[in-house]
Amino acid sequence: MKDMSITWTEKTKRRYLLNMIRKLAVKAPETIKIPEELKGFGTVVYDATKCIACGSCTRMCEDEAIVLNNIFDLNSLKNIPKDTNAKNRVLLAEFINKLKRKEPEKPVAVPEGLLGIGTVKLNLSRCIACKECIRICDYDALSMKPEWDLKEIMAEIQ
Amino acid sequence: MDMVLGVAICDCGEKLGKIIDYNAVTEAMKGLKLPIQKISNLCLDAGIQDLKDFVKSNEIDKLVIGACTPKLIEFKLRQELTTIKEFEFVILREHVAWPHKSDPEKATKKAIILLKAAVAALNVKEKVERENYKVEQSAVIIGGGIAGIEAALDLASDVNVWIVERKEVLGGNLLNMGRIFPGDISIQEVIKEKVKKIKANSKITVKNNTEITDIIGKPGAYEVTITTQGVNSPETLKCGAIVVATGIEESNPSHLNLGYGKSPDIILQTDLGQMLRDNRVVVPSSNKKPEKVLMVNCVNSRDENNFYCSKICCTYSIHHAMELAEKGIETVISYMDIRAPYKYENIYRESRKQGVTFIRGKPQSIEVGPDNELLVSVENTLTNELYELKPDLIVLSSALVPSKGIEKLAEIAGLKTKPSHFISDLYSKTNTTQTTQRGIFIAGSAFTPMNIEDSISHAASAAVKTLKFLKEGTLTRDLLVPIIDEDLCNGCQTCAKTCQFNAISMIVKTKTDEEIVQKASVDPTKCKGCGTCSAVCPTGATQLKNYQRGVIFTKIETIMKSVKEDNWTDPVILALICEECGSCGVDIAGLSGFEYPANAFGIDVPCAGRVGVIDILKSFVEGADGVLVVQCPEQSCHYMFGSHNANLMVQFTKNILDEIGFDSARLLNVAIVSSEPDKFIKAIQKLNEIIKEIGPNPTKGG
Repeated sequence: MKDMSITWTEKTKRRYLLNMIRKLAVKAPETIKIPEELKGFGTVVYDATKCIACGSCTRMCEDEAIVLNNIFDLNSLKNIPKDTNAKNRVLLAEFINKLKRKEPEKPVAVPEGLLGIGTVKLNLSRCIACKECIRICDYDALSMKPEWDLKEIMAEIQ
Repeated sequence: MDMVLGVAICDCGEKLGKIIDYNAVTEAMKGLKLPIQKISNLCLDAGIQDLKDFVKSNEIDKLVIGACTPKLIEFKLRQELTTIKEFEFVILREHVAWPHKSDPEKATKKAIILLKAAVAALNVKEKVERENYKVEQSAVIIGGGIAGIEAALDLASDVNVWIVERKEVLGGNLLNMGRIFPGDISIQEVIKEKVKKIKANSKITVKNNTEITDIIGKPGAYEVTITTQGVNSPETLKCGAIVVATGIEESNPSHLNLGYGKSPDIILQTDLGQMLRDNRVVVPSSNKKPEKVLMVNCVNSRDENNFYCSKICCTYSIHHAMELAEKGIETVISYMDIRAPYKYENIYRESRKQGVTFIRGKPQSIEVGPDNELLVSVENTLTNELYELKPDLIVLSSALVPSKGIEKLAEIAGLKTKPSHFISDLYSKTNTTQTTQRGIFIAGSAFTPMNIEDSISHAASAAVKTLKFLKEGTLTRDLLVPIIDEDLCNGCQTCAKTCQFNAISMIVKTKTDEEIVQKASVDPTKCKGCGTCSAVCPTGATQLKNYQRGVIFTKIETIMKSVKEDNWTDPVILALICEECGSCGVDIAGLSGFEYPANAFGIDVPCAGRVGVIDILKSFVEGADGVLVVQCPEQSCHYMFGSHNANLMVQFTKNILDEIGFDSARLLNVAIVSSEPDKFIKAIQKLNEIIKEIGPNPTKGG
């Protein structure tokens, strides 16, 4: 097994906790349930179909647990909510649907510097479930689920 | 009340009639049931009178003008026809007749299609408010060095001037210099004289220890906020024009392996300048007169950091060496190339006669010994000899860079900077005192390193241009600003972050008793009307007035519909053309007698930044075989960021098209300045070749 000692570069309490869990673990962790009322824990769930990459959540997040990602998944346009006020996004979906000669397979790159389009990336190991990102999101693209995917979180900080 | 829309087409004194069949145009437009009239020479008084009669008898509110480029006639028409709420221009001469003169049939068809699109678009357009305002007869000069002083003295012959200077005295870099070369005139005396003149002039106010903290307003009516050290409340200066004369400073080369900072005996040319000024040249560590001095030129310049040549260091280092020679001090100059142009070539020759030694080559290293002795090894690359030198004093000619804070000032004033961080001019080479912002001028070394002589000439030129601008007296401005649909705006700040003029801010509004929301809000005094915000808005809440989505889409739809009705067999290219250099370039293509295929239909946008991904996709959805975005080069974009944003948008759209299997080669963008019509023509030809190869738009008709 790898040395699990905590280095001083890992400053946050959350990292400290996760490393302790790792130290104690005798088997690979899976998803664990979190009591609903318990604050500070949970998993942010991201719905790319609703996101307009405005970056509000990334600005709210002091822990850099949610960052903008310069890729855009065309398939996310397929399930765009009908009642959304992201009218330009609706048109984009409509036009792509009309023009497409084949189904898009992979996300497309968004050039650096182009704002208003893209996705966000979550670093669950940094998230302290403060829900600020969920509060600021006008598009319901983020929600909180009361469980922790420890397997994925552990993979992140390896 | 419904607006009456009319169409007036000019045949340029029957000249265009040989190419465009005006009867056929009038006939084709009749289906729209609009008043339409052919008028000869809309540019002349008689033509304008005919137009006025036509407008009056038909009670026309909105007018489509098919004539020459609006750059020539728009101003006059807007002045004369005050009852017209809005115009739409179709450039029949430069964009249709002249470039397609060998194909009158297609030229006529293209004219009809463009006129129909203009009618449809004008139906959706609203009246744009125009603002007339007086130009403030005053100027703020930023920087009180020689350029600022000269510009102030010239401008104060007529208008009030403020000089805003960061330091406590005027004079700038000149305060650190000894003598003007060639010659024996004391620079300190020169400065004293100039400052005396400034003080005696009642039109000039000097603000020392002061920095610029904000600039708002518009050309001719700027409000410059200044903050003076020790004064609590900032002051606002109302002025018509601003002259940036912030100058240069010698860069700090301590990151280079040349010992700067490691020994007090390694100094900069400006330090030596001060010693010469005070007539006290000493080795700092020993306070004794040096016997041997090594000067190293091209330090920190002509490399990957500062790629440019600072231009004046050669001359002044040689001059300093000659002054040292007078004092019996021996000097060696290590150099890459000696660039002492014009009369300064004489100084170079003279210095050799006086015993200044030149070594072509830069030191590999400068070592500082335990007793502070300096050890230099330098190879003369002309003779392949290696020299080991032990000078008493080393003087580095470090790169001349813009004064500190230039980037912040550029941001505040909305100015562009060059890759070298110097302030960018509007048109390189031909107008070096005009910045990318109307009403803001550059004088002296803020533009590029200059010696005293050149700074003075450049400042005089800037003063003349500034006065010419101020003497326009009144200015007119379209209030062509984005309209924000607050129901759609979700406060995402994308537009605010994209806008380079800080024209969009977020305001907090109460949605319900508990919930507060952010909405975008446009400051019309800062907005320049490029429309880049409209292109990036994810929701479509931000729509530039009269270039809103509805207008662009209507034009695309009408052109494609008319093309179909007309049984047009050629491929169809939609060209989204920036109204600044892009449109001018296309004008020049026509003016110069170039011909190109008649299958490119222009849709004007205020700036290529207005072109969004949905505008391009819409063109393909409607059946266009190719889309060409015509924009200004990034560095000369009139709206700073628009052209760059267009590049990003086109790249992104291409990424999407590739992923959905729609040939992205159908989308092309080209950056031109007005003098490069050939680039536009080549792009049209290239796009035609591509379409010929890959066939028509596969979704056509479906």
